[in-house]
This record gives sequence, C-alpha cells and structure tokens, in this order.
Amino acid sequence: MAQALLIVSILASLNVVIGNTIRSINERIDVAVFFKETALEADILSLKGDVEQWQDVREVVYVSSKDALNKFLEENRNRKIIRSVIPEEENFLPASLEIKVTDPYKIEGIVEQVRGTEFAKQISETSLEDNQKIIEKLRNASSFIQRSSVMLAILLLAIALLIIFNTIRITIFTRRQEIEIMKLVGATDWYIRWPFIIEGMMYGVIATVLTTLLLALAYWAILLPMMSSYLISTSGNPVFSAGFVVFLVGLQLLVGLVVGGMSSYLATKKHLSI
Amino acid sequence: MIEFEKVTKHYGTHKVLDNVSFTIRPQEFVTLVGPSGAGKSTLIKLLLCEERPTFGRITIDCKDIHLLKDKYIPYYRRQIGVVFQDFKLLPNKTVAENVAFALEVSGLPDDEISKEVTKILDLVGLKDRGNSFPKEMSGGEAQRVAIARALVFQPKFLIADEPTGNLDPKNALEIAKLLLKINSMGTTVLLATHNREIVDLINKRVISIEDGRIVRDKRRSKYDMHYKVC
Repeated sequence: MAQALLIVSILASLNVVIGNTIRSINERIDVAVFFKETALEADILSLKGDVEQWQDVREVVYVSSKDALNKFLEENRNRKIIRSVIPEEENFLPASLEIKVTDPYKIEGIVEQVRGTEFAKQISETSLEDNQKIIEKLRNASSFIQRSSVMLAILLLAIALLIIFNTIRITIFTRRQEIEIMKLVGATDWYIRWPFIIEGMMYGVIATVLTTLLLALAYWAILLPMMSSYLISTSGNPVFSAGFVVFLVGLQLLVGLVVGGMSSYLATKKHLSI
Repeated sequence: MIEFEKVTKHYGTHKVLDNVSFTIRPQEFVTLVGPSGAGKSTLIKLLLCEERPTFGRITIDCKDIHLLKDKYIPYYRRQIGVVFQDFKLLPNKTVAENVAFALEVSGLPDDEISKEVTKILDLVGLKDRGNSFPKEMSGGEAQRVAIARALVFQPKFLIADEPTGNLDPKNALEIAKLLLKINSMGTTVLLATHNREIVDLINKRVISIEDGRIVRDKRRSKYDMHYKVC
C-alpha cells in the first residue's frame, strides 16, 4: 500500500513538475524572424506593428543588428578567443523580430502569416524548426512519463487491494466463530462489517504516514542537496509549496482510505456471506 | 404460532425435508426427535432463516419468514432464542460478557445491558459466575450460559438444537428442567434431540422425523408427575 501511495505521490508530483515545466518552456518559446542585411529598419518596425495586432501574439521585440551583436558580446565576454576573432566594427548578425505567442501550437501559423506579408522577401530565415523539435520531444517525454506512471500506480494499487483483501480474509477466518455467533444473535451485516472496514482503512492511514515519511526523507536526503546545486530551481515551483504538500498528503489519505475500505468491503462481502 | 406448510428442502438432488407440515401453538413445548440426518437441523436452519425452503411456506405469527428479505433477518433473529449442542460461547469473554454480547449487537445502552445480564444469569442459576470464563465451567454450566444468552431478548420462541448432546445424564437432566422452567414462564420451546431419556422426561408433544418426513406427531395432555419441575 505504501509503495502504491508512493507511486501515486510521485506521479502527482511529476504531473505538476512536468506541467509546470512545459508551461514555463511554452512561455519562453518564441520564434525569431531574421531579416536580410538589406532589410530596412523602418520596414521591420512596420512589420512589428502589424504582427503585434495579430491574434495569439503576446509580444514582439525588435532586435536590431547592433543589439544582437551587443548581446552576443555580452554573453561571451569571458571568452577571449571568440572576442579576438570578432571584428568590433563589422556586424555580422542579422536584425530580427522575436515573436512571443500565447499558444505554442500557433507558432507555425504565425510564421506562415509573416511569410505571407509584403516583407516576406526581406526575411532570411526563422527559428521555427529547431524550436518545434524541442517542444515535440518534451511533449512526448511528458506523455510517456504520465502514461507509464499511471499504469504503474494502477498496478500497485491493485496489488495493495489484493494484499489487504487477503489480510482481511485471514482476520475473518480467525474470527469466524465470533462472526457466526454475532449473526445468530441478530447482528446486522454492517455491525459485523464495520470493524473490518475500519481495519482496512487503518492500513490506508498507516501507509499514508509511511509514504509521507519516505517522501520527507527523500526530500531532505536527495532533493535538497540537488536544489542547492544547479539541477533544480525551487523558486516558483509548485511542488515545493506548502499547499502542494497538503494536497499530496490528502491525496494519499483519500486513495489509502478508499483502497483499504474497498478491499475490506469486498472481503467481507465474499467471506462473511452477509 | 409457528406453521410449516408442505415444506420441502432440497440440497442439489438430495431431498432433506419432504412435504413437512405442522403447527406449534404459543407457549407449547415441542420435542423434535429423529436419528442423525433425519432433517432436524435443516428444519431449525429454516426457522432461523439460515436456509430457505425449496417449496412450501413457513409462518410465525402469520408472517411468511421464508420470504423475509436478507436485511430484516437480523431483526427477526432477535425475536427467537437459539441454543446449540456446542454452546457457541466466545472463549475470550466472561460469562457476563458472552450474554451481554447479544445485547450489544442490538445497540442497547450499557446500564440496561448490565441490568438484563444480572437478571438473566439469576434465572439460569449462574448469578455468581458472571466473571468466570467458559473454559472454567462444566458442560452443563456452559449450556446454561448459552440459554441465558438466548433469553436476553425475552423471545417468544426458543429453539434448542441438541442442547444435551455434549452433556452427561445429570447435566442433561438439569438443562431439560431449565427448558421446562422457561416454557412454564410463557416461552414456546422447540427442542431437537435424539436422547430418549430427555424426551421421556419432558413428556410433552413429540414430533418424530425420519428421512425428511414426519412419521409421528404425538400430543400428550399431561406430563409425568415424577419429573415435574417448577
């Protein structure tokens, strides 16, 4: 049961992490439209004005050839070899428009639209293809992780259900005399059944406590050291918020109580003949 | 009033009861006799709603108990007391707790349970044994505890299935006397036994059953004064 709850918790955390990552990457995804050297700044700004009016476009930033070079130089200020081969007076970087969209699925359409304008001839290339590959990979990985985690959780929950079912069956067997007498003196089905259902639910509660302890241990022993390094950024990550921890414990408890109670109910239904 | 009307019970192809009809009037003491496998226990199971008849009708006070829905069976069972050959006492509970157990099941408050238990243990002559455990008691005493438990709901009807089967003649006699005492207080008693001495001692109506059929139903208007009790 604890194993199943652990998987459920990890699954819930993964869902949130992946969802959050995709959202944050989606927010960062934009498409850059690069212009030929011959393109006039006035034309580009005019196109910028047009594009900003389009639906699904969140923001359009004009990066002039000079800005692009400055940015590049800034990013590589410590790499002396690169600096040494770049002639400061000669700008080899094209001007571009960085278009941020509200929905990443709309990028293709927007690029098509840009290519359909009167300024199409001044466009040299776009960054569409590279970005699309990354997005696709991320989406595939996320859906694979989600699907396999759900299957694993269902499998482990089914195993937990069977184990509790069997435990309750043994308890029923050891208490069969008492149950028989209860029935003969007129105990109702639920009077007999309740203690078993509560027992099953207690397994759920115990599993929740164990799982929470395990998750807390994993958090302090594994995640905290990783967070202090470069791997995970905690800022604004919903997985590490107090609200999510309460949700996770609540989810575990709910799943534990339902699975425990249901196993006992099925065991009493089958073996008490009531 | 208990009525069996043309009751037949099959287990698969095996016929255990065959067209059984009889009536037990209120406050009557009826002894059901017959060899092992004659159908006595099946008849009692039908009365307890543990089994349903294949054909026929069973009524208690004009209510069809063979048609009783499962959810009403516990409430019906509280109206009849049952005693078994093997006592069916819980070994880890004291005598008083064993008797109280039946009342707890019905949801009676604790103070009333305590009062009822004292009263009923007094009736079966075990007033001072409330704190003893079943293993500390003789067979006769254990059966008295079982009778006490059967009587806690003050049933109109008491069924005793071979209550003397595990007892020596002296204790068996004591139990028979206790059943007669209970009957004299107004409870209808149905006693299943194949103990001839007990039947002769009780000397009341006897229904003989063999191979699932009633072969004799003899009513005696008075019982032998030599064994008269109460």
